[in-house]
Amino acid sequence: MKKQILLLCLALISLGAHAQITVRGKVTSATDNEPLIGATIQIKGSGNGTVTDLDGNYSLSNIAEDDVLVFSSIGYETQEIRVAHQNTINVVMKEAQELLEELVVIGYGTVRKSDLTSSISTIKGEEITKVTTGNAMDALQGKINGVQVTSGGGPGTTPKVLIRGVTTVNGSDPLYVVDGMPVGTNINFLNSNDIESMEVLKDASAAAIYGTRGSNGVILITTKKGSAGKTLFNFSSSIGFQTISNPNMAKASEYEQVFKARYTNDGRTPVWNSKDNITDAEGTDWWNEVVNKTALVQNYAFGVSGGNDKLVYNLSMGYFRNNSQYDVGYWDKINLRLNTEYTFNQHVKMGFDIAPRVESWDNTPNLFSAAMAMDPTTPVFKPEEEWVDNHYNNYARSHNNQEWNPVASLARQNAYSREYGVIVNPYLQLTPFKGLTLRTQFGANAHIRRSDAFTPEFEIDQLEKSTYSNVSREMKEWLDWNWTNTANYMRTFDDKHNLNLMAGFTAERFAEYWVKGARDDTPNNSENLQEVSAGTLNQQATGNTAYSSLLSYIGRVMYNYDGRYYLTASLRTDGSSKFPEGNKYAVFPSISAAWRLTGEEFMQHQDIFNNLKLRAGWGRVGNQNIDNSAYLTLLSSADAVFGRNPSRVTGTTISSVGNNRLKWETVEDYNLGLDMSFLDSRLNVTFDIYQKKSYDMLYKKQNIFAVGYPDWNSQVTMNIGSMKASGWELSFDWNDRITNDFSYNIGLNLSAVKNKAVKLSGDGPVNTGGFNSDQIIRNEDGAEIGRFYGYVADGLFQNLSEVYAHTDEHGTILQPNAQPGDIRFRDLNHDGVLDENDKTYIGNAYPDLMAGLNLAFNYKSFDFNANFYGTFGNDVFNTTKRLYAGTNGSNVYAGTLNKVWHGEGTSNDIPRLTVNDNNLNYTRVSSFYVEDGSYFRCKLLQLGYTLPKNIIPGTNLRVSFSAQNPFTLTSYSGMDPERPQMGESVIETGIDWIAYPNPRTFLFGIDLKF
Amino acid sequence: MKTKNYYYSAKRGLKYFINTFLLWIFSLSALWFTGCDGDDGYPEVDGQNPVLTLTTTHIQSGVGRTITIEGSVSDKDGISAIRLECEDLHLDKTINLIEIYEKPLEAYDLSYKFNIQRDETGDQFTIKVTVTDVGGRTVSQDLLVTMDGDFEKPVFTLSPDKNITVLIKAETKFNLRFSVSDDRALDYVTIEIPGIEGFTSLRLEADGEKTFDFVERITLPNIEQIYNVTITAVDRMGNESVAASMISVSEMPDFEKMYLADVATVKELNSDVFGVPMRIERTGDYQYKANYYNQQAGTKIFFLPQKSDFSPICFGLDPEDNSKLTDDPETAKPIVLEQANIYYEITFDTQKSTYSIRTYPIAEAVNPIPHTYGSTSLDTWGDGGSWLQEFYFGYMTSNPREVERFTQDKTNPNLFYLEESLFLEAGTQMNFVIHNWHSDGWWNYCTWRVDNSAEPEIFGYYGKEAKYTNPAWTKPDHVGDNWAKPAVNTTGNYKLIFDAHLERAKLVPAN
Repeated sequence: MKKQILLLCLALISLGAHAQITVRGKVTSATDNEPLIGATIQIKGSGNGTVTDLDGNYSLSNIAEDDVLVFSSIGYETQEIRVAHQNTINVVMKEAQELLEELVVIGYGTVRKSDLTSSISTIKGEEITKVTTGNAMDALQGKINGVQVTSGGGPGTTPKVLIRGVTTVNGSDPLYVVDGMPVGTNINFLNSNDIESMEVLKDASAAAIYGTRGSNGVILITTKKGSAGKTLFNFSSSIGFQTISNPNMAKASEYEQVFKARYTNDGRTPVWNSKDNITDAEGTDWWNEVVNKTALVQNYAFGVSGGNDKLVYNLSMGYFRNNSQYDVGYWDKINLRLNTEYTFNQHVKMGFDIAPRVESWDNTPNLFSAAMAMDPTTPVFKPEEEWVDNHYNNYARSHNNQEWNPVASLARQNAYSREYGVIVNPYLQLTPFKGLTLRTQFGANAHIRRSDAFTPEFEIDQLEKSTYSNVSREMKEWLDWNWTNTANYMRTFDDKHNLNLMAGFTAERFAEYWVKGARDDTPNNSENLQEVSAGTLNQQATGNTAYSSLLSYIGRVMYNYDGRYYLTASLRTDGSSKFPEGNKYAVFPSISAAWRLTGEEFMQHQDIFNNLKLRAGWGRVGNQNIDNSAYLTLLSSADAVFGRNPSRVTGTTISSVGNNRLKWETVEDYNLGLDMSFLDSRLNVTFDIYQKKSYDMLYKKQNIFAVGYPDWNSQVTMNIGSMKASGWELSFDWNDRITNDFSYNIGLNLSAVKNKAVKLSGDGPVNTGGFNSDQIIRNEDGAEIGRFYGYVADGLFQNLSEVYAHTDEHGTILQPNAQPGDIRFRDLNHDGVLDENDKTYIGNAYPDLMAGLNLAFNYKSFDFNANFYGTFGNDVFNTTKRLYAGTNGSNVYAGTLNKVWHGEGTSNDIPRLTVNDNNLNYTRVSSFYVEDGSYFRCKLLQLGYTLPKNIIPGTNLRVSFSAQNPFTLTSYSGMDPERPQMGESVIETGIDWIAYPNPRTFLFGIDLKF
Repeated sequence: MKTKNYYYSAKRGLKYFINTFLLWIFSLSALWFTGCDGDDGYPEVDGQNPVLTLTTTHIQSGVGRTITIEGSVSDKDGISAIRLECEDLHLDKTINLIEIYEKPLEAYDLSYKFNIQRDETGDQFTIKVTVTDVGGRTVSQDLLVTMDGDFEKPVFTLSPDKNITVLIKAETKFNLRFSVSDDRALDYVTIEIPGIEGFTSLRLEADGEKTFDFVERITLPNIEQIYNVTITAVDRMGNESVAASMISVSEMPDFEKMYLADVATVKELNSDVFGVPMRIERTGDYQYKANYYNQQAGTKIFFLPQKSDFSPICFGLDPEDNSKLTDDPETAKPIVLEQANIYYEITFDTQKSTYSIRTYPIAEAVNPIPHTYGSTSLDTWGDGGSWLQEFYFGYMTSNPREVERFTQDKTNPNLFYLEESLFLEAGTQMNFVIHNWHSDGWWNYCTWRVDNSAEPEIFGYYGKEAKYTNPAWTKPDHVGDNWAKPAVNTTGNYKLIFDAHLERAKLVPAN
């Protein structure tokens, strides 16, 4: 009522003042009836105006009755309404037809999603920030088909990202391009809250325009920009904790029984150094001593954006910190970003983005293995009466094995790094006439890192000591720059011929400078003396400079006829400093086409497909991820022991062998895709099938010994390999709104890829994954990579008859040292000898199928999101099964006594306890260690609630509770089935060495906008 | 209306997809079933039972022996598998011929070895041999295995040395002593000593006993002469073993080798694998020096030129003049070492029959070991110590990565022994080295080499480089055989004891 009176008064006043009135109203979206925030209302021809608030309301005073109000908002059709006598004008804005489908960023340009001819997937920033993580790629897991993201666990661990499989051994990470500037293969430095969207260029027809480093796919990241209108503030935070599962190791009493049983089972007297019949209470729970139950995770982001028709800006600040599960070890980063754009006039526009940051990390040790293996009968400390001033000496030495005291190792851990970096990205854009855009952009990425480390002098025991302390400092500096110049011309002829041309050139340079100094033996371990200058012995200084550069010419033609027939062709010529004269340049072409069947006349009479588009693409991309100097033969100092009576010699020798015929590694890619929409576009289905094959793959091949190089220097990089990845992707996306209060989205991604080594070195199989003087993985020419190769474990011998029956057809005993309870290994070639010839492929580290399931439900003010991800058909070589053996006095899993074979029928998997292991149960690479590594993991459960707007007027406040990785469905017995897939390289993966597992994370978050 | 369209579209779409899906499933199923072989069976030829013909239905064997089950099998339909069963022998083997040859065979020569365990106690066993053809038809036959086979040759557990010197005395005598054993039954023993009356061809009946001991004093003519002794032991199955010896009757010779015996009986002299009696040093003509670590006060020692017996020559104290030595085993008295935990050095002259004794403490007993045993001091890369690892050594049968660690004696740091005794079977030829442990299996640090691979008597230090030797150790490197390969005559547990100062090791029965 008050409002009405006020309005009436205002109206009367307005009438009295030259018929000037105040107009109020609300602007809503026709799509979802939600208020439109930041919509612009301008008085036509005057330049005056306002924007809508968080509730979509606006108010404009001093309006003449004959004024025309112009309502506009990005993505919506602009409306003009004459005021006449209206004091209240509510406007429902329709989405602009040409923008109904989102714009997709492609290399050096944008295109409507419907016009895509290649395989590109998009994820919006709000999807990424639902997951609290230091690296945005963690949030992509399961959300983009064909992108296999494997997360690590510890603070700052970079996830492993594979886009459509593997075609090279020279790095598998995709190229990241932030706002048009290539930034390398890791985006740890980026604040997830700054991301507006990410586009994944999956096939060569899309990535070829980044030909230089596009062979592993390209991920384009666009950061948030400001928009003209009201200044908007936002603040978001999520705080929570992480936990990892306790592996449940044996306590002191069971350890003693297991330890002794190993000896007595072999007829030997136990060499036991602890008290007999020790109780659990007298022992030490090393896991609890070393690993904290929780680790803090916190993330804060603050942003402000706005602008006018000349200047738009977006300023953001972020702080992220992730503690490790130990008392030491963390990673934090402070990010600042200011993105600005100034429009001088309709022809000239300039932008300047700057993003400084500070990252710090205390190195996270890997002590899980030691905490699991340490003798639980050993106390943490020596008896107090034995303590000395150097407190590092006061920790106890393991009584019954050679494991170093993990609590002592933790206390000694002292390595810290800090990095300061900035990315600046200014650009100038000219539009001389409609359709032609000229743009020049110069980006620089500079960062400096200081790494300090100190190892104290200590002596716990003769076998657990460091005679001298060591102190080191390393300074590294990186300076990369990129200059991109493009010309873009767009024009439509006769309403049906749409042409988009682009040409340009880029220049890039990457430089790294480093120096390291170290000394031994500081006067004591005091914190004040942890400086290199305080060291008194063995002073060392090393340093070097490495740089490389690229020069590229790019061009692209995009044409479509009537929105039905599409053709895109691109060409990139790259010159790299990594290749010798004559081979520096290579050409990377691509071509792709699409046919929108639903645009055809004959499809107008069906109502099954709302959209049906067929895509096909071909392209070539390159890889140059080798040493900068791979084509050069280099010398360096040498220190070797020679002779029949060995003597140490120092001098100069060849440190690497160059190849002056090196050339680009090339990947050729074919893609066939189908986009379909059904049921009034509520169901979208995309299917792609592809094949990627590398040629001239760069590979470090062993040189001929006769050449005379020392063997460790004789590898030479050559263009000799080839790998092939073939796969398919199928995704379903269902969006529906049941009522105005309830809407939901269900997305299912399924994909599979087979990675084959057509040829590696040509010198026979490449074996990786060292294990007891053997190798776990065999990569063979013509076969899939990453497969485990070893003996087939055929259960356990249950009795003597089974031992004696394990012979060849003539009675030759295959395992003469076996006893009941030992593993039976199969003699595959029936030759009566168990040897290398009986090895076979016993598992595959790569999955047969990857799946992502994403659910989102919105009901009134509540929203619920759930993301799931899984891999199926992959195996893990679980070395942690050794923790049933107690080898060398190691601790064992709780329950080992009952779980190991201890009589006929008691187990057919875990062998008997033995100290000698004459049957090589635990030393052979065998299928005993191989487990199904399939898993289906809930990545995220998030429940959010947006508070009613009348509680804090003018604000939009959402609170949420999230659980990341709350549960995993798997039959894998190790700590984490996902972590082993990180691997050492693409040809050495799937082995569980007890690395930092992916933790469960529980978070409370708030999101405030005003 | 629009809602209706949605439903209509959904229904149509659903129907379309169901139809497509069903067609797809049908097609796949059709492909699957038509593409499959579907017939894993084999066609019958005559439908007859297999034919099994064992080479023998009775095998005489014994514990620890390997029997061979032999025969021929045929079946026109194809043989599937042959099963060998005997629960008492823990034998239950199925030879799956289809799995091995990837097809059924029509004929197969069965030849299957099976070892009868040493701890089997039964007298006889029946092995059931069953043949199954591809049609599932079976035929069986029993094979009797009795434990009465005799395959081992008699073993001389005590025999005269290969070369024996008998000194010419007023009455020149020689104790011929030997012991023979057989795992089953000895039949007889023959002794041939041409030139000695009564021993030109002597046959002694053993009457089926498992052991046969012989001791007899033989009087020899008082003239310098060489006699060849041949002793042949024959068991009931006709297996025979021969021990040969050459007896030289002479005046006192200048013996090349001399031994110290610290045991009391002939049995103890012969129960070792090596090291007893202990080889001592010859320092000049007729002159010898014995260094010995005495662990127990009152140890009695003699010096012997032969290893297997205290006769015919045994140097001990002359009962008539304790400052002299006598060579007569019948009158010689032992030299008694009264002090414990100390080293003795005894020098003597066999021609002059003189001797002297001195002692020296453990602290003065130098050894060549380069580092404190068990310390982190082994220079892994030999580069001056960039990476040190634990230094220890011990009994090694394969490579330096796998060394059975010696325990260092708490009283005498020169003395090392294996904590666990070694179980060795008769007939075994050992193969070992005393070597340091190295994590990478390098051989370049320190090792003790033997003078004679087959009969090791000296374990001399070989340090490879000066820096791998205790500077106080002045003896040159001992260049000999790397591997010691002594033979074991008697099954049992043995204890390995090594003295780094003396460079001597012995492998004697464990108590």
